[in-house]
Amino acid sequence: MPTYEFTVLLDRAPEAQDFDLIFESGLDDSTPEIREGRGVLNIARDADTLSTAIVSAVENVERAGFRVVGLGTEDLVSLKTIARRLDRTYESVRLLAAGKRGAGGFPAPLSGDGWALYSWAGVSAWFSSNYGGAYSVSDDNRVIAAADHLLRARALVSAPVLDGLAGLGRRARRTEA
Amino acid sequence: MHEVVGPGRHPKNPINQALKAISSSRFAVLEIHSGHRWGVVICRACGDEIAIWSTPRVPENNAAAIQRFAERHKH
Repeated sequence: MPTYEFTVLLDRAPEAQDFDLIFESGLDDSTPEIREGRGVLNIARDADTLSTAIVSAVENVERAGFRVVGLGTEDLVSLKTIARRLDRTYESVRLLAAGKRGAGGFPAPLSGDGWALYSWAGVSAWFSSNYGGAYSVSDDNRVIAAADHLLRARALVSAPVLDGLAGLGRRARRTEA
Repeated sequence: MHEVVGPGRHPKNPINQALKAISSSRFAVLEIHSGHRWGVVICRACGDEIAIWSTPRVPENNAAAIQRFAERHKH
């Protein structure tokens, strides 16, 4: 089962008494952060699809007593995430990153010691120029962007209004068909 | 709550490595040992902080998040 990484923006910063409930609400795969006074959860969740991972995380957050007001994306990613986004094995990507296979010139990690993290923007551009294909805007980023817009819309209007607007999604699918 | 003199006391090795890799002049590592929260890393320049669980589901992911936090806080 793949691991999906994304950032959940909370309606408030967690206080000391909130952390245990966050952990026990199914968010032991998150890393809470307070960023410029705002609460953020860095999620790395195993799921069949990114959509499933996002929806389950939002449910967990609400069970912990918070509201999700949006999603963010991380440009710094691990080799494991790079492999999944490129539909390659971890070992294949590891060898490319080490220069032991492929064209060479794989972007250097941006982090220092410890777990190497790479810029997805840099790696995807390198892959596009060496192996072809449009990797720069991944399906993952599109799903996260769409989920972010839906969550922000949820914060703008009441539930009945949002239910009424749900028909827009059905109309879009009929237009594509 | 007291400041750790030297990093690397977390029971999970990947998190130990992440804590050892961050600069003590730019970050404070505070041990809390309250419930599921082992401690917190605080950026000395801006006050942003990131939590460290005692028993994260996947320690490598908690460690990677700490590293990303350090990369974003190169003030």
